[in-house]
Amino acid sequence: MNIENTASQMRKGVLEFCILSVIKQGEAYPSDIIEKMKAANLNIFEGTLYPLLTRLKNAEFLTYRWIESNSGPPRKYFMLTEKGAAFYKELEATWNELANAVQALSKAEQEYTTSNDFNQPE
Amino acid sequence: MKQVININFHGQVVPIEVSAFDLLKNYTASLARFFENEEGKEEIINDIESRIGELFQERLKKGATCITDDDVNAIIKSMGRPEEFDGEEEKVATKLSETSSGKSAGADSQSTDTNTLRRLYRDENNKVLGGVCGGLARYFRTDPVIVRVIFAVVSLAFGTGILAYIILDCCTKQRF
Repeated sequence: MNIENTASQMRKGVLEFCILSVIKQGEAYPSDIIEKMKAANLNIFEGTLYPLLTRLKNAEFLTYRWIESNSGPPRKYFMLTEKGAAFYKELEATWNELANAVQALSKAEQEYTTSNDFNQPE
Repeated sequence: MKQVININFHGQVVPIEVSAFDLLKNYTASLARFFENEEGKEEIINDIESRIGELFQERLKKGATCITDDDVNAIIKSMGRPEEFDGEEEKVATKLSETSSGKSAGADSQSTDTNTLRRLYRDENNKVLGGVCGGLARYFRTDPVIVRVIFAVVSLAFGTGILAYIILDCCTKQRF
């Protein structure tokens, strides 16, 4: 058990939800998505993003269109499908449930410690 | 004085140093190996290469005369190497163990989760000596007693069992 592995697993769990959240705000192409995630302090490699986007597209949660670019090859702009929007709603509910649960549990520990201290003789 | 060649990279002509081109080829080869079993791998690799092409064009537009080793290394760093991709540690572990000398007796099990990895571990919770038989039993999903009996019989009969045990003890990791 090492911290990097556990931390990485935690990140892996929320990546899809984060990516879909960015795309939900509007059509986006991959390096756009990386920038927005960076701005939110979630850094991922572009190499991590592309396979996830392809999987989501193959699952029909995303679709894309090509837009010509002056500065190079045409770009894929991704957006949510209807199926994707429904999937997103479910993920959002799951995330909220999970976040609340984790908050409650980790906070509960702190409260226990505080009341314990309170009972210590001065 | 380095040789520079022109390559046709995703519909664009890119002048690139030969050594840099080698670095690029190694990188795309490592991607191909990494995504070997991934559905839609051609698309993924195409997307990544396309993005690299875009980054090349950015540099050339800024006035670089050609793509250098430094450029390629910087691009690879930002794209990430396959072993750095998030949450793909298990996939990488399988690939690494396939090339190293049998540290893991595991193989990718054909389950719906493509990243499942069955490795052979010692079992610290179920051990008489080193936990090797416990680990073997877990891997083959049988009772450790059976494994120990077989081991004992084989050792007595052929003598090499003890050596095998020591090797497995050294080569396998503890399971947490």
